[in-house]
Amino acid sequence: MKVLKVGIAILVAALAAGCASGPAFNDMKDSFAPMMADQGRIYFYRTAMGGVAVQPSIYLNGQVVGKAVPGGFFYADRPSGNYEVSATTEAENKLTFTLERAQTRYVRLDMNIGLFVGHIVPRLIDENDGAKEIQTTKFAGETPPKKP
Amino acid sequence: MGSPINLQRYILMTITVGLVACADIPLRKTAPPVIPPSVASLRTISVPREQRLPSAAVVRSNTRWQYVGSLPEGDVYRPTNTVLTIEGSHIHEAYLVLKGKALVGYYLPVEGALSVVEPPVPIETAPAD
Repeated sequence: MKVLKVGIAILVAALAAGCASGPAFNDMKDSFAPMMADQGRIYFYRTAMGGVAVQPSIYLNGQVVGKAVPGGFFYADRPSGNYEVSATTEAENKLTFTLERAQTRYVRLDMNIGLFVGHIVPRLIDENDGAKEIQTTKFAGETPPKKP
Repeated sequence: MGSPINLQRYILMTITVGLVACADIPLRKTAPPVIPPSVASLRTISVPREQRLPSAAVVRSNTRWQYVGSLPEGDVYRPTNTVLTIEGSHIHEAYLVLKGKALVGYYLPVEGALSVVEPPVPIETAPAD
């Protein structure tokens, strides 16, 4: 019985370690730096808590902007233009979309079943839905953004 | 799942489903939509009811669509209060290409390409307020 309890405790700790542990979105949204005039903002978030071991890097036009951490979010401000988000595990999944000046985009990082490893599929989400869903996540970026 | 036969079936089924789901969407490069001089003002339409369309596109109910120009195949409408994507091996933001009351394709703004819907699919629209 004691071994079982220890095993469960280790499992819970391992799962928790794989999830986002930064400040909650709602606790830090007021501290986000304002968008620059010629830029838009892209939020990336992952609500699904399954597949904690699958946390690939997220690329935005070929540049790493963060990781697909379960329950986590991060964002990137970019000039208006065309963008491609990609994530690779055993297969590469891509999303293409446009970004306008002062526009906010939400990209949800969904977990799909793969042959051997789960796939992270980036999906463009309605602004209303994205703004609601992201509230359940915690910051999983490199450095918490701050107002200048 | 435990026996080798079941495992083989599982792998075969997964590969088959994966291949079907990951089929590439055929795209045709096209010039950007052009607004004809005869169009006095940019019109907006609405889609009153949710509609599931080819290439896993879903047009949600009570959405508004702004005319952004025309292609030889039809008129191009960009969503203003929703997003539209189509899915093949990858996911692409898309605009509707309508001819009369039928969806004839999707315009992909990033790729500058048209994905033809063949045969055209009826779509319920109304002039927006």
